Amino acid sequence: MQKFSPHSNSASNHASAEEGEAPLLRMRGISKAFAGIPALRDVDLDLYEGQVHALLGQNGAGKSTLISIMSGALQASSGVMELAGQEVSFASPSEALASGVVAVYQELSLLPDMTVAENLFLGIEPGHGPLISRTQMRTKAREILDTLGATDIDPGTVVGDLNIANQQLVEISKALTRQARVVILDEPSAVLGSQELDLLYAMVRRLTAGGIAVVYITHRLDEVQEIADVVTVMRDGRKVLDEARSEVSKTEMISAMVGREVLLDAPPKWQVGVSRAQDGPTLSVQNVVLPGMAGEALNFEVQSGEIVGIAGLTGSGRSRILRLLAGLEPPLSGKVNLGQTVLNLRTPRSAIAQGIVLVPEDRKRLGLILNQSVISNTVLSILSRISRLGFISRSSSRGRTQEMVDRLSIKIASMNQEVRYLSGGNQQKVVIARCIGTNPKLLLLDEPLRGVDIGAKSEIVDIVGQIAEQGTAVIVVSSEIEDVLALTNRILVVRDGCIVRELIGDEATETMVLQYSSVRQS
Amino acid sequence: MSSIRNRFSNLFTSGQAVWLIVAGLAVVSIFLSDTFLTERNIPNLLGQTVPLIIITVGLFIAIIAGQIDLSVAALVKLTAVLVSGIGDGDMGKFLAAVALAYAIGLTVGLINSLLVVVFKVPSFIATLGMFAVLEGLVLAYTVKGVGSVPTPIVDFFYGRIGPLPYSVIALAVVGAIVFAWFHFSRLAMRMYAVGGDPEVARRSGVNSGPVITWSLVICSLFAVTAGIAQVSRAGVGAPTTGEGLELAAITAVIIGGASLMGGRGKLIGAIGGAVLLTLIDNSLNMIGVSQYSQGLFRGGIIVIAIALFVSKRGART
Repeated sequence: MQKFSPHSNSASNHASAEEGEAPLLRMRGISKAFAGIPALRDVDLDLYEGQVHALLGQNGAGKSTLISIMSGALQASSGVMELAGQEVSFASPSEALASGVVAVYQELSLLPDMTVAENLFLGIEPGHGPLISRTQMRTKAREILDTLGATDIDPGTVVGDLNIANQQLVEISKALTRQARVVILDEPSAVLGSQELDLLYAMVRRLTAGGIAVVYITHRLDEVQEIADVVTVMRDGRKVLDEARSEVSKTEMISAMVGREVLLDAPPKWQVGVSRAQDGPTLSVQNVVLPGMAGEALNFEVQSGEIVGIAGLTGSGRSRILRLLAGLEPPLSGKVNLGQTVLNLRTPRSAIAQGIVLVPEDRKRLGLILNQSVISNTVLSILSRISRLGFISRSSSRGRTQEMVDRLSIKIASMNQEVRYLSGGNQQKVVIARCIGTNPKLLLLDEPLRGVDIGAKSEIVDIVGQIAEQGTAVIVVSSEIEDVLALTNRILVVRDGCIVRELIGDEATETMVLQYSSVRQS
Repeated sequence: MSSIRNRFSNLFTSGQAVWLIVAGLAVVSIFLSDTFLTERNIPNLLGQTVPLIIITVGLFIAIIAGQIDLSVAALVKLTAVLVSGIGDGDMGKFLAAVALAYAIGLTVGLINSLLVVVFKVPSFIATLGMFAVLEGLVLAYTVKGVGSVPTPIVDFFYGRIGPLPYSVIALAVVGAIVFAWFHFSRLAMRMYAVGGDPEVARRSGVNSGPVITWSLVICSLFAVTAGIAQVSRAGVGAPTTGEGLELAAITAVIIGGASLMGGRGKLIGAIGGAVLLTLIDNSLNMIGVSQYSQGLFRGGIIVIAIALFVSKRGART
């Protein structure tokens, strides 16, 4: 265990943990494995009353697993947890709740059709026996909302009618109704705009002022400096840094998150400047503003045969740029050209007709018809081309599928196999096969390497490279910086819906991407 | 345009829209038919609504909790033949048979929830199976009308104060209790939560098992009550009693603005739906639409009513 001395927080004037005071929550040697694959290895963590404990780490570092164990949603494979000196092990979230450990997740756990008061007191409704007291519920709800400074939320409002920031306030208020002693906030800022952040900070300070220990998960390092007392960084399931916030710099946090300077075994397949077929039109995005993102307009170009990565944190607008180009989200202003043509991106259908296809993030739901065959899925987008008089030609659909199976080396038992039986990587290849069957001019890839094993990853990287080589412009978005870097070394870093930096060539490193996406540049 | 639409869908989800249609259809019927607004028809119409309203209230409770119960009509049927067959005109035996019917209802509700809660069978499948079992029991017991209901009971169902049948007054009292229950009971609030999102309910410390069990048991008990009401109006129980009531009740709940996915809806709307369905049949009769084309009108009115008030359901679920 690394030792740190808890410092009193200048931001919140509460009685901070003194030297030697026992931690409120103490985790020792926590490990967890899923199907034999370790997600957490021997993690120690101490939370103190009245302190904000920032938990940092890249996706897959083990943060979520750790807080799930803390809050009873998962059980540790080994290790002990003590709450106020008592050994505890939570079999379910309700047991953790009963002990005062509350997790506030990114996807809010509120019922949109019920009122604020009902949501706050669900499961612990005031009243007698089988009856609840609605008056008491309203009064108590009012009190709690006031404590947190949410004076303009009416307890009688239906939650679904509140904006996302207010819903989050309700969610945190809900933690307070549970007599929380430990509140875990899972990326609370991901859904908030910059103005709403101040409200969130104020609320977190009120929580700690009341002696609550707060675990604060975020990717934004500015926030850590603003709000945290202690910083823990996780990587590959291990705790790699645990210090008082005043003792660590942003650079130290970033290098702890990244771990090593060079994560990739090989440089990206597609380097800027490598010559390739460029007879296709260039995509140019001019002065486009995303709805709800008040910032600088987007301006960028992608040449035919080029692969461009877009990186940013959750909520930065990285996926929305793809959605916009795919016609799923009409732009507020600006125009998008492909060569000389001005694109009409009002609907997905028009985007597809103009040669733009999207490989969606959630392939099982949006990219594939799981219980249909490899053939059906592969030819789904080109049915009109392989049909005659409204009848699908079986031989040409088999031919097209065989061609794709060979070209992308998709591993299947037979072309009639249902795609749900394929591995993640092969499923992804089928989606790509369907998309490139239409000979797109612009291919949009959202999380193309998610849930795909290492071997298939490098194959997909090769495939995308070949597609680009044939003159298709490619844009790739991923929450895993490593995945973007495997595909390209021209990366647009987005933050709050704006491109904050273009990283090209040697500049395109994990550290640089992290730095520009997680630290506000002034 | 969109705001008008929004207001319409708010009317719909709050369960008020269906009552507007009821009022509109009643006015149309008064103008088109001489026999609609008569001392014979109105009490008859009100009496007709009673069994459907009872079964709809029960089903509404199951649907709010995120379940569906397809076995209700079969349970109505079983109740009707047992109460009539065992009772056979004798008050003592009749009451014993009623007690038996409730015991069966309780068992049916418990078995349904055992399948759903413990064995994780979707309620659609579990209650579909239960429906087949109960139908089989009915046919094993009798294939034709059997026994009779004691006269005082039948008289009660046809007795009235002014235009209001006693049964409607009794229903109003029960209805008021159910409304209060929905507003003040812990269980009812948790039903909305479990039906809305079981995972959220779980994270909030609500155990969904007991909530689902209660909802299915209450639903079955309401179905038994509906069966008693139905057979008491008819005077004799037959294996055709209550045929198709489950679909009528589901329709009533949906046109009352509730979500079939659970967690959303108002009781007043579901009751309005049941009233509307009975009113449509009655009006079509009174206006003189032939039996054969009634289905066309019934279906048409229901589809138009729902289309008019397209809910914002899609936006939230």
